[in-house]
Amino acid sequence: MYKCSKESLGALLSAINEKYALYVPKKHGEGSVSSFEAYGDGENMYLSGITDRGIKELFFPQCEEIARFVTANGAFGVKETAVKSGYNVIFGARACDIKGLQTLDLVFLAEPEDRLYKSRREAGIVVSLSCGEPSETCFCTCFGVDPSKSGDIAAIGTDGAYYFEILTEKGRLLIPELSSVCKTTDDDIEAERDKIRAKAALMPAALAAKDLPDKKTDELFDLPVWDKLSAHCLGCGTCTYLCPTCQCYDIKDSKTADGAARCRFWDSCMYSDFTKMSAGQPRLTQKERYRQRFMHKLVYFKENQGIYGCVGCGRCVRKCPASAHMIKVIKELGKADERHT
Amino acid sequence: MNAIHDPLVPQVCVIREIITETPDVKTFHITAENGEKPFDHLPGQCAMLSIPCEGEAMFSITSPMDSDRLEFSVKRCGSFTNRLHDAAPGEKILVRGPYGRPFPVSDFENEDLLFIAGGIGLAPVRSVIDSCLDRREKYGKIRIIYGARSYPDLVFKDSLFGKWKEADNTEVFVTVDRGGDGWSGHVGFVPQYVSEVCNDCKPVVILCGPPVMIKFTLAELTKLGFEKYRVYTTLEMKMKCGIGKCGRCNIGSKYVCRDGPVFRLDELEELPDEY
Ligand code: SF4
Ligand code: SF4
Ligand code: FES
Repeated sequence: MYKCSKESLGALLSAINEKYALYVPKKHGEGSVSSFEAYGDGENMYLSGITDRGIKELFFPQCEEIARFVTANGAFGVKETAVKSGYNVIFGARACDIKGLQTLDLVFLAEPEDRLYKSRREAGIVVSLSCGEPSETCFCTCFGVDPSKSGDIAAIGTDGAYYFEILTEKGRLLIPELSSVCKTTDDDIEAERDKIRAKAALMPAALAAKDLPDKKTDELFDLPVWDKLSAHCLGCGTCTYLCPTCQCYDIKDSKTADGAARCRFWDSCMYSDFTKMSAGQPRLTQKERYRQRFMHKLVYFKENQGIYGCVGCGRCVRKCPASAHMIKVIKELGKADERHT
Repeated sequence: MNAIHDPLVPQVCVIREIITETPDVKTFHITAENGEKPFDHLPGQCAMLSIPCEGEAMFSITSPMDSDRLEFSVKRCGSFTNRLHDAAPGEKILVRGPYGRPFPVSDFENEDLLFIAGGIGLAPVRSVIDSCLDRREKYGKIRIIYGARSYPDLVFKDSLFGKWKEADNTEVFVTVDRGGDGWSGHVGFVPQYVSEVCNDCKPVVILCGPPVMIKFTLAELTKLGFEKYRVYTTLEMKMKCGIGKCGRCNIGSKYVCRDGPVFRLDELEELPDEY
């Protein structure tokens, strides 16, 4: 375990930034969108709450090139985009976002592996920061997330200090930087962690969402309550873009000087184009699209992977303009369980 | 140019031959640049075809598993398929695959088989029929029921009225919704024709076609007492990745690109009603 004073955090991050590309949570003033950015001069760090945009985009960017086609001058060739090597460090990740990565791993690292995601995953050293002040819309404990400890290195802030516990082999790569600024210590911080866990378990949203649905697919799919739940959904896609576990993507080409670049982009099951074919549209109205998103998180993903596809980060709760969010869905589907059992 | 490792990145292939099947369906014969088959496939599997900046889409492979080319029968129905229809032999095309769970042709051995197809739905079925006919001794009686809107809309006429008709222990029943255009055969819809052809036999069924036809034919088969686990069909959804990752083609917890496109009727009934 390593320990440094609160004032020394900047020195530690600067030391890491010397050697690695370092990303930290930042917020540029009240009302701006907080997200993970390059450390730079260390200004505008935002450590007191969960960011609006999570760490997903550092591993699965909103837009990335997968291949180039050269078609000029009678040529016709394909070149796949090279993967980058070398490590980078993400400091200040929340446990829910890290669980989000583990959820994405089940999809992108399953055969056939997604090589671009995999390379970023292998390159990323993730330092979590414990969540001392959960937002009232957080409900990560419903999904087994431990908000006090996660990642390759778990950082926890106490009154005067930061503690760092290395949890994985990859985390050990930062030992030189930690040693240069921190002292090693035998302090027991389990009590501090227990305080965080206890507080998190009492988050109002966590209490509201505690009865997760566990019913047969067909019964949940056919519930009349989907009409009510989806009635105000605008199909804006905010919930999917901000969600740490949403993985859907589109593939499109754009012209280059000598051919084309094939890129993949985040897409959203909330959009009508998502499943529209020239042969027809299986999800005709917003109700079907809305149901797809939430059934996927709460039922289909669990059927396929054994865990829920939501980590309780609360972003869709905070950001949905129509307040048509996950907690409402869980409450309604949970009720459905009671009715049937 | 470079070795391709990414399942999302296609290889360069060449259109060798283009057959005009109907006014709006053409069959494209494709090989790798060196003339070889781009990859092996099993009947029922699909592949992604694309042209830079023109689009990419999934098509079922219509040639049998032992063929030395990949063949795709494409119906003109949108901007990318229009562009394909304008292609000429010799043109380069991007291909990736094969994708999906095939028809379990080895489980069909020693069985009588009933193939039922409507319209362009004969494309995936043709791969199974020809794969079975290539090993004729392994299968029992083969019956093929095929329907299209009208005589000019029948695809694979050479097979329907030539190769398949002449094959051992094989019967072909062709019907059109609308007579005329020089057609003197059966007129009527496929589901009704099924009960005329097969009310006393219970072969394994392989069924492909437009959703309405599938729906009514399944109802007819159930009425005739066919067992669900002996009826196979294919589903269609929009696809982008082909490998169960882009999240686009699911019906319930199944991804059509990876867990399908072939489903047994009993599996189909487990899925939420969204196809
Ligand atoms: S649920 Fe809310 S955030 Fe999601 S698409 Fe609908 S309106 Fe937008
Ligand atoms: S569904 Fe909502 S609460 Fe759950 S992980 Fe996604 S954004 Fe967070
Ligand atoms: S096409 Fe991407 S998941 Fe099936």
